[in-house]
Amino acid sequence: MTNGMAAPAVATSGLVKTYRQGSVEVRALDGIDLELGAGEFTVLAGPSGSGKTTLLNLIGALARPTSGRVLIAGQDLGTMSAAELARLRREQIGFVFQAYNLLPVLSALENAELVLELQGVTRGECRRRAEAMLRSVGLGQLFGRRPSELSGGQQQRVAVARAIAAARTLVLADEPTANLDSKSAESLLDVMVELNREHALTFLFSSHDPRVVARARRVIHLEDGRIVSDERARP
Amino acid sequence: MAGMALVFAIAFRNLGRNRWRTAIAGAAVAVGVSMCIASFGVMDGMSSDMVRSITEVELGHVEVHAPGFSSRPRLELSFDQAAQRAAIAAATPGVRAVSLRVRGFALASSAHASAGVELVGVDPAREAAESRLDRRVTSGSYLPATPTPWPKAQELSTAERALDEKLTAQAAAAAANEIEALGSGRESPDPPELSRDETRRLLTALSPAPAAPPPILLGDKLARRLGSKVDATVDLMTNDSGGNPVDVVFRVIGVVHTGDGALDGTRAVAHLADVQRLYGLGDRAHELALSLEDASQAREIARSLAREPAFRGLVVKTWQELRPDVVAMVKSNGAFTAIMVAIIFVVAAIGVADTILMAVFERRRELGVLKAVGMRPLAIVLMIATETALLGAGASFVGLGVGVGIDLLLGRYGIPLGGLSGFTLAGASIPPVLHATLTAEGALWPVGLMLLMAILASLWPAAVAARTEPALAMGDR
Ligand SMILES: Nc1ncnc2c1ncn2[C@@H]1O[C@H](COP(=O)(O)OP(=O)(O)OP(=O)(O)O)[C@@H](O)[C@H]1O
Ligand SMILES: [Mg+2]
Repeated sequence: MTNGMAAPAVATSGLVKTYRQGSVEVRALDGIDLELGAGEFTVLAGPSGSGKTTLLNLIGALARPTSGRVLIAGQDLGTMSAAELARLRREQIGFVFQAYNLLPVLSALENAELVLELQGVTRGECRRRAEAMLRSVGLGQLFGRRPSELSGGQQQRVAVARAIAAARTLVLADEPTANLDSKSAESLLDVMVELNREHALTFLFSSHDPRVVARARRVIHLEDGRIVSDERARP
Repeated sequence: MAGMALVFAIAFRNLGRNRWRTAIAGAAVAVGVSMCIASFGVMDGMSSDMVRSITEVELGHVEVHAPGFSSRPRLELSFDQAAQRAAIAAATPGVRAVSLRVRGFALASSAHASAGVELVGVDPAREAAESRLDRRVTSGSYLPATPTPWPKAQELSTAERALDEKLTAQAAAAAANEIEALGSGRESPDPPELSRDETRRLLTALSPAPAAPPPILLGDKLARRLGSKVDATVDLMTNDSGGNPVDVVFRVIGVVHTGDGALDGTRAVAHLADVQRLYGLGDRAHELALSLEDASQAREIARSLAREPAFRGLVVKTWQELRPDVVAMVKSNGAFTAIMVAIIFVVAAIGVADTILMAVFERRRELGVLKAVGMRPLAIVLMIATETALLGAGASFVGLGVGVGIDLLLGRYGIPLGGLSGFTLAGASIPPVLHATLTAEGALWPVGLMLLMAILASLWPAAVAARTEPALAMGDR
């Protein structure tokens, strides 16, 4: 489901982000022009400090660029208020974080329901969709567990379920496999590839794991805040 | 708002995350609330003991006098039909008992010493009901119900009437002489001794002494000063309402101790009829003292009595109007407690704010996640405020229970004041044992205020939480 055929899911132009550290100015992003079509499955690759997290933050409306524009499904983030940005994040974007970032006081099922509840989906519908999503990431048996009672791989799958249960346009993931062993990483990737196909959501995630990069259909390489290559695998 | 149940669930469960911290902050609130309730209880108890101590001895909750009497008592400021008026006052709804009194001054002399006394004439039954004076008798007994028989005033014989006229003429001449002497500087001759004795004889005929010495109660300090024990006689000298000197011997029937030093050192109490007779007041009296079923109704009952035709021309006052000094003392007592309570509250509120702020800083990443997935800042404020309110409410109710328990215990057993015990401030005695009084306001105010403070104290951490950067969720920093 995307907002019409005309607008790409994500578009950026001349995106620049600088950070001040004392008197030194760090240019984390230095002019990013990028377009992601609906349903694409893309990896951001690049060495540490190349700007992957920063780019995901700007695309996910978690921070504002120093200059340049970001458009999500044709909407220019620069023209939106903080409340409108919050609404956009809530309704359009699913996030998967490197550190999982589940709420420790909520069960797996409640974490998966979290964003749906914030969207105002009815209780019964919340439950139904969250349960279905947890089953599809292979956690059908673990609804009632708290994050502290789950392995890293299981926690990250709950996070994926949370992101995908509520997202309508885009799923952003920052190094989702960085804290996982290779077996867990593989199976999480399987799940994501599967969900991408099933739900026609646009996926963008960062990684420097070559096995992850190998699974992507499009790989964008960043270095020092610039795109140095943008390659598509043949379908 | 969407997700309110979720906000509540997160807030509630967050309290369980750091149990020790929650318990310590909760304990601060609970101790604060229970101390406040206990302070209010002791303060209320002390105030009501003070008020009781002044209203249960002589002062009524409501008093009726002739105009001017309460500020400057004088024998001539009396009212008539005293017994009827007392009966009307006693029949008023809400009035428990009414005492009817005559008040005057006299010089009391025993075989050993003499002292100025305040002579109070009371209806023994009414006084016992109103001020329980009968229970304060420490030796001897209380006044009997019936007054002492006094012989009727005798008609003057023709010779005596002639003598009276002669003495009057003499007195007039003496007065004229005196005025002349003032002008000329000459010394005026004293009236002859003879005429003084004769005057006394005539007066005795007009107002004869009672058949037997009427009974009188003395305050214990006064009795000691006079060296008079029960059954001793005391001679009271004074002027009657006509200004004539009178001199009557009373017999001490009992000694009373009220605990009020001023009263115990100056009071002599006798039967109303005897004192009315002594002062030549007929059926007149000076004071109606009303004891009410509920002291807090003093104002309404005073107002309704003042409107009664039976009390037209008289002044009806409440104890608050008669003793503004005690009212001021009770007020300053309350103000002192309020300041203490405010300090306790501010300290507890700072403790709560600090605890929640620490929790907010610890959970910054989590809050960032909630912001990132689109939770509204207002919902985050609500979440933090709910967490604080739950902590405050839970702890306040524990504090309420403990505070009420302390009040009930202190109400029952009291705090002995030891060396300070039983002193008097302006006639209001601080009791030897402090008792707490539990009132609904005294218990519920601290709880309500503490909840309000807790919520106010949560606003600062909540504002910090609501401003958390959503970008904190990304990366692994
Ligand atoms: N909040 C910040 N304040 C200051 N500098 C920052 C901040 N965030 C990022 N930077 C800097 O911006 C640059 C890009 O950082 P970013 O986190 O986007 O890199 P990355 O590609 O995600 O690296 P990694 O692979 O280590 O996660 C780095 O030089 C980093 O030090
Ligand atoms: Mg990064």
